[in-house]
Amino acid sequence: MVGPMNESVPDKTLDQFIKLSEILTGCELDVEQGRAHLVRLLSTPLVPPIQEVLKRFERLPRHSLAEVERKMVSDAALRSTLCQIVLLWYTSALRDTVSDPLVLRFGSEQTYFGGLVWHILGAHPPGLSGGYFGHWRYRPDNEPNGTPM
Amino acid sequence: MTQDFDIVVVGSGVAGAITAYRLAQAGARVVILEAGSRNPPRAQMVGAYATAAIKNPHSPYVNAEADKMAPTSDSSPDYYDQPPPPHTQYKSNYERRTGGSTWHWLGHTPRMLRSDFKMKSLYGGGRDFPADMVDWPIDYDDLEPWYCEAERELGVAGDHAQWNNLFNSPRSQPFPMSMIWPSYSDQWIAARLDGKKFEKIEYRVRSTPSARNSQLYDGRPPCAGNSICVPICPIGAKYDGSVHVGKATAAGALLWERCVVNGLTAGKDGSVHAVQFITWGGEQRTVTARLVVLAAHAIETPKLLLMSKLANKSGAVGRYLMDHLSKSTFGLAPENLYPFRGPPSTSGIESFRDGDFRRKQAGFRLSLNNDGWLRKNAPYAEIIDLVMKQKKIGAALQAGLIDRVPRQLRLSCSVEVAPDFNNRVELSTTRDALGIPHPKITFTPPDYSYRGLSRANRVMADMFQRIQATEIDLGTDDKAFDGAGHIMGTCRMGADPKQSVVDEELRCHDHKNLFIVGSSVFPTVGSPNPTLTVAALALRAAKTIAGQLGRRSARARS
Repeated sequence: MVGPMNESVPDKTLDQFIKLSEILTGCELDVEQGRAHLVRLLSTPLVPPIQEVLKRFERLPRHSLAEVERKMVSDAALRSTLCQIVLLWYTSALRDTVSDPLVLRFGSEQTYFGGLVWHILGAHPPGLSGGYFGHWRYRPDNEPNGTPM
Repeated sequence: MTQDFDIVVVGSGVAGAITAYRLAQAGARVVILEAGSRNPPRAQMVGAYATAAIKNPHSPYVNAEADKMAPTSDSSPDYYDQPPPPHTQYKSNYERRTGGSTWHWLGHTPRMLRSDFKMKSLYGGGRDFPADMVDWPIDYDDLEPWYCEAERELGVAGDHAQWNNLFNSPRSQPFPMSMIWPSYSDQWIAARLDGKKFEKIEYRVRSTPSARNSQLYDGRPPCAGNSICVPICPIGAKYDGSVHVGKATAAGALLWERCVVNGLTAGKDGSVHAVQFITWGGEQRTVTARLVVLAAHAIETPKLLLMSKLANKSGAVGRYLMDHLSKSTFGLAPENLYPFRGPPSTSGIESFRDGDFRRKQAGFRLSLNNDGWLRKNAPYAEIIDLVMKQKKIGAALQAGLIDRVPRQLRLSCSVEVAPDFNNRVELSTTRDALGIPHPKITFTPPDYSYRGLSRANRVMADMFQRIQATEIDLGTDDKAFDGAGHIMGTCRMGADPKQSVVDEELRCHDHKNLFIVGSSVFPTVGSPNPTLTVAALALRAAKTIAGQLGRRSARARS
């Protein structure tokens, strides 16, 4: 469920954003973190804008992975913004799509250190291990799922 | 206004800070002049790194005023005045701030080898041996006790058994701390490489000695493997020069920050007593002392001597600029190695550092790294690729990442650069905000070093093949290299005043009360990271300086 009302982010919009984000990332997500990410996306000139992507999502008959894959990810016009949503949750970064080579604009230090990709990889964000001396000698406690060894 | 001290130390990096500490401990009145300023709290700098778009060695230290008043190539891409590409670029950077460039060093502290001090005697004479390669005026045995002392001062973790007598370079004492543990990746590679040979040279993976705590040491915590030694240790487990700045000031030394030295003046007797500096506020001031120690790294130190027209009867000031040629290569291991955990590098291969081959080509170190393909934008590039090109989302996206990123491996080399008379630092006509010339740099690695780099490429290719890696990326240009951040040479040490700037005690041949500490005095460099040798030489010089100061005090009193 969505948290308290926020003037800049209507609950319904946030709710749609969280649902879409959970399908894209494959993770259960924090709503308040989602609010911060959505505010950032709303203030970023994306092509297409995040509002348009959320409208497309809202119009889907079912909010399922298969439906998002078929109706949204397969649409090249939407994919860039969908990728930005993933990148944001996974790393806190927004990609500067104009520049080459890859330039990333990271969010706050809290969101940088809270990037989901590191946990998915059995790693930690560079700069914050949360571990003890020598933990790198062993396989990670949060070993990536399904990894053949 | 002029103030008088026993010692003025110019620069507060590891060399200057250790020298100042030892001299202040001995009772000398010491002032350290630092061009930069002290850092904000460490947590604030880690935050700056976290939010920086470009996470380079300078990213925690960006400060508009400091970057303007004490610029370097770290903060200002055009700081080095050098011919543009395709001319070879000098790529190593440094920091001008309290504590110096050790803020963003990796922390590795291998010693030089016995042979590194006697290259000309051991390997010289052939047509492929560089003409400017020389012997040091001291040997390994002279420096060995000081290496032990430096390891205690910096706090070095290492494995005595692995390193004792490496290439006939014995250790008289154990490391002060047990080794930084090898990563899972290191152990996996060692299990597949140790004992195998490349051109009759045997691979052996060793834990790299590092000035990172493996236990509580000197009031600093053990390493937690936060993975960003470069550009900043978030918890201070890695040594940096600010440790000895703190010890020096606690022992009574004064630290004057934001004071950019722009001149030294010699008296009629050739001794140097006056040091001129500009404050960031633009005030020109002078401080006087009985002895002066230059510790401004291998770019700013020769710059200062050239600006002052001192210490250069040999014509060697600024000459023989060196570095190590660094190159990263990439491969995908057949199993998970779990990168992005632990220090960026915990083990290496020393087997190629020495041998009869050094008559014709440079030696090198190899590092096994724990940072995956971060230098190729992992895991960001993989996420983008999986979504944008492969249209993966959800569990499929995660599976795609898990399938590749934990298997990513980076190997790297650090190749000896031979001294060359023509590789140099001069004064540019371009000036900084305080009117001080930028350094003009000329640098082309000798063929001797390129041959070593070529062999290092072949060795890394062999290593990847032996571990059955795929997607091996050795780069397309066999001569391409990165800077190692190991700026060396420019004020070489030697016995002959006609060919060197300082004597074996690091005293300028031309000015008996002017000393130079730091990597600028290296006549040759071998292939190890230079900081431990810098520290050992500084400790050794501090004893000489204290002795010289004592004799002068005695003469003054009599």
